Amino acid sequence: MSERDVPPSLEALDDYLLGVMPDEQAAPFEDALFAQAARGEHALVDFVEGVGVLGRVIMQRVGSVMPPTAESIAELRRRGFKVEVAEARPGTPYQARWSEEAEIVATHFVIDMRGHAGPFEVDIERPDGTLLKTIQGGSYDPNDGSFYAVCEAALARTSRGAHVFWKLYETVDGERTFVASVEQVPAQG
Amino acid sequence: MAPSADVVAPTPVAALVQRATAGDRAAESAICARFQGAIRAFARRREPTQDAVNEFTQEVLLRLIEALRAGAVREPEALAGYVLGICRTLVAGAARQRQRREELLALYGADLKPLELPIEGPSLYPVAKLEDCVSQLTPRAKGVVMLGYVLMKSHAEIADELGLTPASARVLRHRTLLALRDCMAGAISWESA
Repeated sequence: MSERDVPPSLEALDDYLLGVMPDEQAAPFEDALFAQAARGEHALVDFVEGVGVLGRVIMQRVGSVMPPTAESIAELRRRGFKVEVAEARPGTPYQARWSEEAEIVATHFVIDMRGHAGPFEVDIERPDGTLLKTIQGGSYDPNDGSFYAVCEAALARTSRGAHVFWKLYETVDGERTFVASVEQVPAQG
Repeated sequence: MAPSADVVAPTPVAALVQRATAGDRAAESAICARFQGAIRAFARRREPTQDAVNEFTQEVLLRLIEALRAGAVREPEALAGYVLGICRTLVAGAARQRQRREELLALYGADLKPLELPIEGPSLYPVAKLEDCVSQLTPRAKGVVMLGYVLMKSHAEIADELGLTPASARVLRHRTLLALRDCMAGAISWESA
């Protein structure tokens, strides 16, 4: 690989970083990587670096309470985080309203999912039925059957003006079964 | 996600070296910013922990600053090879370099920018963005990325922990990184609600 080769791909960078790439290929890869850095081309390494750095922040905060339960949320508070919890019930629209002081927030879906084995997915849909996103890999609190969605307050605040439906599904052998739905309306005030 | 420096019309590295050698600290910082990712990648391949990667990266940058201020970079246009040479030299003599690092840290450490992002205030937006993207991954896809890039597990360890063949873990990791990159390039999903 010469200095003027095309930029290393994300796949090649991953192979290099995690040791899949053998040393005899790694040496010229490094030559190209540093030559590109000299030219100010470092988007790929910045990206993987960002995943690591930001991922560590998540792991130290929200990621440390996965799967989320009432007890793990209490543990976050004991660790000093300003945690706010909003309750959401099927049939009663709720507002995603969080204070400026909140650091981590949890939406407590007050439903009893005991008896379902999971795994669970949550489709977040606009009122017209179009999918906004799917949250994968959810689970419920075995003590009360509730479903908790925990995230950084910085992320939750971006949902403040949203009008969406949270639809919980159980997925078994690729088959999805509807469990419950909660309506989120734009926060007032 | 930290923005890439020099996205528009990057200054030729030789010009930056000349300016840095003449005492321009901004040019010196720009050079460090350009190479930091490549140095961290070099270290990540070899070091088992984040602290070790940070330490290695810091030491290389300290040596680079020392060389720039001393006018020791004789061929500015070949700075890439010079920096890579520092990396390879450090790997070859890691143990005896520790004392040297402490000396350099005392001399130039104050001029190095932090190697990790702060986690307060507006900088939590990129954290939220990654969280939004990661939440949409399957548990296994989350696993390959978190194990590989957050917990710094090896390729074999990742496959073992997730009960995948090494080949499957590699393919899944590649697909997941590509998906994450696409996702991170866009807005947080809620912003289009």
